[in-house]
Amino acid sequence: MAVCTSRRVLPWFLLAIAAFAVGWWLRQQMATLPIATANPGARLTSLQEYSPKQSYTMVLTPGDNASPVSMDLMQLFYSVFKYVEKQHVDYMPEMAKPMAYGAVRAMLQSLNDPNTRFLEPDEARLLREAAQGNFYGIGAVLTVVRKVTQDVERRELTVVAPLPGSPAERAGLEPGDVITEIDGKWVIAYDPFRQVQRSGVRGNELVKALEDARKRVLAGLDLRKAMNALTNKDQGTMTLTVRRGNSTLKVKVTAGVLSVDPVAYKLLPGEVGYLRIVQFNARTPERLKASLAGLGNRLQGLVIDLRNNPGGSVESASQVAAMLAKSPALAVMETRTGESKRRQPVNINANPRVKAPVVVLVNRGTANVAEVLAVLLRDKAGAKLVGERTFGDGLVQTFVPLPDGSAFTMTTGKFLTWSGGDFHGKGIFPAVSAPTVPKQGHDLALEKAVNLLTQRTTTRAS
Amino acid sequence: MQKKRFSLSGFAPLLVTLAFLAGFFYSDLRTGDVRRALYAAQTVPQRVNLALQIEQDAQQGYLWPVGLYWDVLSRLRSHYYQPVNEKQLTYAAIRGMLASLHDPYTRFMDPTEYRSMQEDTRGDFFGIGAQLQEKEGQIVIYRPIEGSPADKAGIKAGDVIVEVDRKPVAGMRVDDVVKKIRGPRGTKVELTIRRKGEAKLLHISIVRDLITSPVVYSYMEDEKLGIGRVRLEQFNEKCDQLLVQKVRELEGKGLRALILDLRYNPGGLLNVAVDVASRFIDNGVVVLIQEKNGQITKLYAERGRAFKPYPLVVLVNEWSASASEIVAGAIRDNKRGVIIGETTFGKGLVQTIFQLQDSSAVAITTAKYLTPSGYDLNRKVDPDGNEIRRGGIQPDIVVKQSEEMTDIDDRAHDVQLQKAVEYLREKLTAPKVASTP
Repeated sequence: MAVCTSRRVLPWFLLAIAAFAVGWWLRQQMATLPIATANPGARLTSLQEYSPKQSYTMVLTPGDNASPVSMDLMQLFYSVFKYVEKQHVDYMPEMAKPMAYGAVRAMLQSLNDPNTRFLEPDEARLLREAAQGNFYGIGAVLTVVRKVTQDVERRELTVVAPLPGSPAERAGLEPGDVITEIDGKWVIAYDPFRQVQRSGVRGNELVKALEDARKRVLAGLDLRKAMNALTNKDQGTMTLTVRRGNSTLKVKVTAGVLSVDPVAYKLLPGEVGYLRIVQFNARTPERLKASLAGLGNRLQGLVIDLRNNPGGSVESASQVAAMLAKSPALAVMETRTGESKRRQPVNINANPRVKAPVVVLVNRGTANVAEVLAVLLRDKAGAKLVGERTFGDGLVQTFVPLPDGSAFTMTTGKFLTWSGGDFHGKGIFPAVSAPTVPKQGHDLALEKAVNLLTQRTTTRAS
Repeated sequence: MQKKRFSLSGFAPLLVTLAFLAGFFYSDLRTGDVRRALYAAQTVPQRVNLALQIEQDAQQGYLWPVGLYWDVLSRLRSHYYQPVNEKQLTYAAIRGMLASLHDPYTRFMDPTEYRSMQEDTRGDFFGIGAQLQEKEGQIVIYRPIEGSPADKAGIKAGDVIVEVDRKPVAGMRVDDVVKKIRGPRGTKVELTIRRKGEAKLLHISIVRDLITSPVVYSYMEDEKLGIGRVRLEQFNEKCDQLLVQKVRELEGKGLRALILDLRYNPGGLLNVAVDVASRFIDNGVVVLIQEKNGQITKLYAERGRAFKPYPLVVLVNEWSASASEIVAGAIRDNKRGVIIGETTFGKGLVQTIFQLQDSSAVAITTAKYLTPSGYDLNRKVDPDGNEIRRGGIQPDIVVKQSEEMTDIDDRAHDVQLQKAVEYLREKLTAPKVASTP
């Protein structure tokens, strides 16, 4: 009897458990939308892309790929798009793409972070090319520096570093230069209406000021247009108005195409090696290896020139660091998990190949992972830093490719030095200061560096 | 035994159903959030439907805006350096998506904006009785309503509002300025006004009141010849009835020719525009409504409602919009009268408002008005703000308004009105050409 009952009840019991599970599962599905399966092309395989300014390789666990968006918001966005698609009188299927770009651009813009921006396919391609060392336009790495003065937010288009052999270098552009005009057109760096409102002028003066502001905006270039002009190889000759310190100067630059070799070296008299690392791209480690071999192992000293090095991929910088310093980590990276910050070392496989004393040259154009490396060489390879205070850019910017060839960059974290020091917005101060712009063919910083090394050699020899 | 088997097979499906529901509401039972549970239960069909729809869309190719939006938002959510507000990001994305259509009338309203829009259209507000317009970044008085506090305080059409209660309004949107001006009945608001021809700014204090609009005005411009004028301020429910009343009054004074003055008329209800047009067109099409699929609906004049076929002039200017343009276009295309003045505003779009899940809403341009001859009224502007297409109704006789005209009742300087009267005088006094021998 009992067996008989259980035999009859068991299937129902199992079915009830299954029903419970199905109900629970359905409810969980409602919290998030399973669009990932509906959208296979959108799955992100890796973020091992690069931006010329700065980047790092994000190692993502498969589950960490992208956290699901709240279904309610997804539904809201989807409904609006569907209403437009079905109801808008002028809607045509080819408008879907501009709408998508418009949505994503506005969404990223609303974060109010100049390093987080959408890139249309041609802009994304330029960034990828730059990662290979191919630069278009004036050949300078640019960034947007955000400042707040008198309650007005300014976003200044700033030169991080002109690349060696570039039109920008030939024209005499220097790190830290702020580009204020292109061919006489104002690069819109702030909201002039806001400035007028805050300035406190009244009456007719206010009216006049507002009218001037309106004219300025209409005649100006927004940052995106300005960036595009400076990175277009067919732009021809431009006259840039540049603010350097307190002075303003006009510079003529002719746009072109530039291919940069990431590492250059030469042997100076007295067995002093000179090694210049221009940027950290995919080719840098291998070129560095070759250069070190080229310099030989009888070096009495080594000058590593990181001036105007705007950074690059953390992958590349890690491999470079491994060849130069004995340290378990290149830097500490601060990222966000949920609501809190997490710090993780960027580990390297140290195998230093340089035994000679090292001097590192830095300047205002030394930025991001280049700054991190300079500190590492100072602390872990006994290097002396010579030159100027560095740029002070520690933000980790990640390039995220999207399925149709467009992409976006976003700030995903902050680099701290290997010991956890925060240099963002501050820069690194060298032990020995020296002007780093060559005057009449004299590279004073390099001369100082060589002197330091040869002095040391002499004392050691005596 | 027999009995027991029977009862079990009756209860078991119920038990299974209960188990399913228990599973479904398990997370709510734990948190005790009843409202959330109910919401979840209610939206099951909607959500399943949505998921199926998206699946279906995805099979036809990459889901453009939605897929990209999802990609970017999910990455920001998991990897952006600072915590992100997904709702604000979504609103920004929606606004950006709609902005890329370059149609200023298709717009998203977040819950707050939608609520205030609903309050506006309900009409129970207190203000100063002036319509505002954004023109080249400035807030301009479009037209003060006759007899309103603004009108009594001497506010004139074309005045530029520089400040409200001594706070600059430059760069603000019209809606926000209107919000600043509105307030409780009987309270004061101070406007700083820049007026053409005045060297100094004017500070004008106005008491807020309930705004009612008389809508239709009549004038006898030439008593000897019987040239009358009716001016329509906007197209609301009372408009047609008042128009008839005013024309009957003019007819009592010996009306022989009529001027329909639609200057500064921003439009209003479509059915009222058809009613008004029916007073002038006895038989014919008033307007074409072009829908998304290209399908065109013709709206005909209602037979038997027309006034006597007086010689007719329609006065328009650049502030005559929407319903005004429909009426002017209908009269022109039906060859019923002559249009005098300046090219009209260029707005012939119909918006439909769709309410969304979280009590936000989206207004979408769902149809276009074309004049009976198929002319598209709309002004088009490219992303950089340059005009691609002027649109609007071009007058048969273009007359630019005199710079000296101070307000709408300054007849001494109203050269457009003078031209209209002159035209009708000629028409009435010209010797009749015998059409038959």
